[in-house]
Amino acid sequence: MSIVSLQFFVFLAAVFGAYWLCPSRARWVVLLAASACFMYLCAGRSLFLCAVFAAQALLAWLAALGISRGGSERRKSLLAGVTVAALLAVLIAYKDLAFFVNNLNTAGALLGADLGLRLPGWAAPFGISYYTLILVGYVLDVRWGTVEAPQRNPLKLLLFAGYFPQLTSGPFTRFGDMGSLVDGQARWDLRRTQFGLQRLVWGLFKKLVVAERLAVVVATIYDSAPVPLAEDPYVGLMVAVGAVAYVGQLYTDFSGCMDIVIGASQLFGIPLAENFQRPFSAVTLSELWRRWHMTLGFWLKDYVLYPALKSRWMGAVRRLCKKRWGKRAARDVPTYIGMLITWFCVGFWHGGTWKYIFSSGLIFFVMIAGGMLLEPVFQKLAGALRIDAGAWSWTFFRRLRTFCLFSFPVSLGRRGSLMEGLRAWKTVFTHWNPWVLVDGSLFQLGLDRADLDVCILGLVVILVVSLLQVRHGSVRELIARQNLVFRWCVYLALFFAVLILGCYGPGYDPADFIYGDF
Amino acid sequence: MEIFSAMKQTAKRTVKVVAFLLVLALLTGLAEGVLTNGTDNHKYLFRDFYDAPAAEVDVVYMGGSSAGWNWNPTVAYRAQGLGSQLLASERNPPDSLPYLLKEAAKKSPKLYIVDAQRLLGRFGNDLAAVQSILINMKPSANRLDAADDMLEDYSQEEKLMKWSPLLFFHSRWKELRKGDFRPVDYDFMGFSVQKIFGDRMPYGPQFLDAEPEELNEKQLENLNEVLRVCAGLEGKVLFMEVPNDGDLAGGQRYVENAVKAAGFDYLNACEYVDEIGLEPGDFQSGYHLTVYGAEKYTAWLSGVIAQRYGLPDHRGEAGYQEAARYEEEYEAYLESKVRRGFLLWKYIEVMADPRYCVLMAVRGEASTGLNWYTITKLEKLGLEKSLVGQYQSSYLAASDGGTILLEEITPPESPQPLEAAGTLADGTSFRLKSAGAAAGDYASIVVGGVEYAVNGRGLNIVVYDNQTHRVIDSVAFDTFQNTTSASRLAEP
Repeated sequence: MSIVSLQFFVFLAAVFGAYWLCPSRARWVVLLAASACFMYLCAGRSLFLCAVFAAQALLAWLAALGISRGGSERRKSLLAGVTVAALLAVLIAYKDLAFFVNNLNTAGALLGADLGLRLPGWAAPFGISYYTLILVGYVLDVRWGTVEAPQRNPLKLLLFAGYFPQLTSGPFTRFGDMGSLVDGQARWDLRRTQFGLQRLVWGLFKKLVVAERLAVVVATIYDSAPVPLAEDPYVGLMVAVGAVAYVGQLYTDFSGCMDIVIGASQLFGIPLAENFQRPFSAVTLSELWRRWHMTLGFWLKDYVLYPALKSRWMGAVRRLCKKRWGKRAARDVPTYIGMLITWFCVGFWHGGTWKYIFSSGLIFFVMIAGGMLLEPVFQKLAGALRIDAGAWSWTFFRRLRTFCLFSFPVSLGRRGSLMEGLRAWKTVFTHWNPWVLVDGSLFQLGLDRADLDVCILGLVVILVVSLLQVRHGSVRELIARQNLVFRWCVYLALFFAVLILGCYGPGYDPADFIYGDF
Repeated sequence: MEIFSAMKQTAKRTVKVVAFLLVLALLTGLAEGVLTNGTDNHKYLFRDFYDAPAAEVDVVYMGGSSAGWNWNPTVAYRAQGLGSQLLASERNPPDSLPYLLKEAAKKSPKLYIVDAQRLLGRFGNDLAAVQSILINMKPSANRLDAADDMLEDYSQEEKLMKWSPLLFFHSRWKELRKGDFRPVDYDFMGFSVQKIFGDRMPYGPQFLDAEPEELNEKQLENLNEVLRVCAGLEGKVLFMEVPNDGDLAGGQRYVENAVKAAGFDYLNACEYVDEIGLEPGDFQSGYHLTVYGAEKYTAWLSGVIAQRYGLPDHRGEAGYQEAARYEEEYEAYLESKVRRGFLLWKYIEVMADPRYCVLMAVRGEASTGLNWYTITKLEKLGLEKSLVGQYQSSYLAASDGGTILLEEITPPESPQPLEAAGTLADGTSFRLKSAGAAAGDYASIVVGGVEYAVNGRGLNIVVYDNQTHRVIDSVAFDTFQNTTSASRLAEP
């Protein structure tokens, strides 16, 4: 059941009604039942896959209780370690086994041995990439004492991990932030419900009006049948156009999904963490990543980067560096190693292939680490060129540069392989064809004039909303302060934009949310 | 006090929410009306059925184009004073009939007429036909049941039709034209003025004894369901076989036997082709009459059912609310029929109505393409000077309500043009000019000081309506070529 389907909205309405009609103490049961139902429907009606989820959640629950019962630190660490390893093993078995099978087969072939390992071809439980990391975070939080009182009720932990809005594409939640989910303390608030609905419709606008149209352009450029380079119409500047369209699609698709998810959760009075904060206003790559898929960033920082930096073996590395190369090396080398591990994990989480490990991980590591290393050079250069760092034009340039640096590796991930992506990007520098921007080629990308106009207009609306957020904070609050007629006009315009201009129904094949596949 | 204030606040908010939802529903309805209008499955087919007061619906005729193109409710009212409504759509899915019967029952008619041909229709693979039903049926449990049944074999996306046509038709926004923002204007109480041209005849008695052919499983199941629903209706049910070409005669005989065995009436109009008065030009093909044939068929059938089922004559009945609408629609229909006519001999037949004045002038040459039917009709109009064999003659004529005001013709290939003037019965002046190819090659028809002639090759005709006192059509039939080639003034 897609969260942009009519069935989902009927389901959501039913859960909403049942939730608020129930006594507050029993509301979590409604959400648990709804989540179980949602997971069952989304998991291809497979009870087994639902049982896998339940087993993982129960394992985390038992481990947390075991850890909280006391005992030696070593025992607690061992328990937490084994549990985390078991949880991740299930995730890897379902989602990333191909990585190991393919690499082992390749390694075997290089050594002259045909290992002949095959993939089992089983379907993964719905939302496994999300709920597994949530459960891992929970176990580690209990181990480290961040969560002082672990959940005693296993059903409530099931709800925490399998809360249905967050199963599609996150966000990654922390147990400590989800009190209102399990304790039934949420109170009915009309204004919050209105805001939730507005957020939900805004998400639909991003997904159905903009992202689905950009998807057509992206598919035309990226999924065309392979032809000899001389005959390929999608070379040179078209590759850059494709990259921009793909990043636009990725953003509107993912952030739209988050708006729907957060809006839906708001209907139940349960706040979910934000995943985006105007990422394209970032002036550096690292800032952009702090604003893009924020909860994954926080998760990796808290559960991968910091533990790695604080680990004993990293301490040994630090001491070794200090002894060999001095204090600065002792400070920087562990940081770069931690970053390398983290970026590897980012890439690996996006997909168990080298393509994703590089396009969503290691290339960013190289860029960010390179930027840090060359920072003194850049500063000297800026000083020599008398660049005013506060000038609007310089900020704009930095944003544009950051966007381009982000688009390049991300777009590689959309190609069939890394090499294919690099070959395409090479043509940007070898095929000079700026006329494609004006000779009507843009209208040959699967969208007619009207659809292209709607798409561009949609992007402009999203940009305006972002600018309003910078200036006024919450746009919903801003609109709520306006006169009734204006307010209603805005709400109705948004609703009908989705209803009429949205890409859904017969004749369309709305892709699943891109991040749902990661 | 605080509680009172809080309650007041809550009430105010609730009113706002309700008001907003009402506005939303209203606008959604408007959007649906616009976006589902103007498609092949026009939105307003059943509008008059729903609008009519139940007490004034005596007959509901349901089925496919063989019902909607053949039964003209306005003619039935003119002929017998019958209050009839159509629930018909093109390529009507056979499995819609049980639901249309239930829908018709909401008006408690005295007589249900079921288009028997549709019982032989095909199932599935025609989403547009299903849409026609679903966008025209009002929301109800019956509509939901109909959607479940008819959309059974379609995709999930296509099943969105069940809930709201808007969800299905929303992507039409790119195709919107001015016309989509107003109701379609070519339906007259569900009757579609579509087919004007036809030169064939329906089958006669030769197929009446065709061997019954077994229906397929789905058709049989559907037939049984229709009969089951009919058995539960309070009014009478008549299964009607319209004049047709006999292609499905075997299946029709099977249906006829099943219907009669179930105790319902079955009437095959093919037995009454002569009684109806059908002639070439009245029948198109398959199960479709032209508008001329539909008029004759409706007049005949309305007489038959009025007598057989004792249906009341509402003409002149005090308090009959629908009368004005029937009259209005009939007037519009007549004008539309005149304006669409491009089969000369049927056109002249219509012009024989005393309400019309017909002004004619030949330009160039008008005799070569004339056929026997046309000549006969011209004679019936009262014209005496035949154009037959009058190659490149100049010719003009004026007829007012069946009275020939003037008629002049020159010898073949004469270099002499003709010109004449006169006054119509209501005092409107006219002036006619005709010039054959050798006489200057032009035609002019001026009425009330305004030139109306198309001035095309062949027979130029201007029609003046004695009731509305205005020119309603101006057309030139290229009778040098044939009698079906016509060009017309867009706005006479």
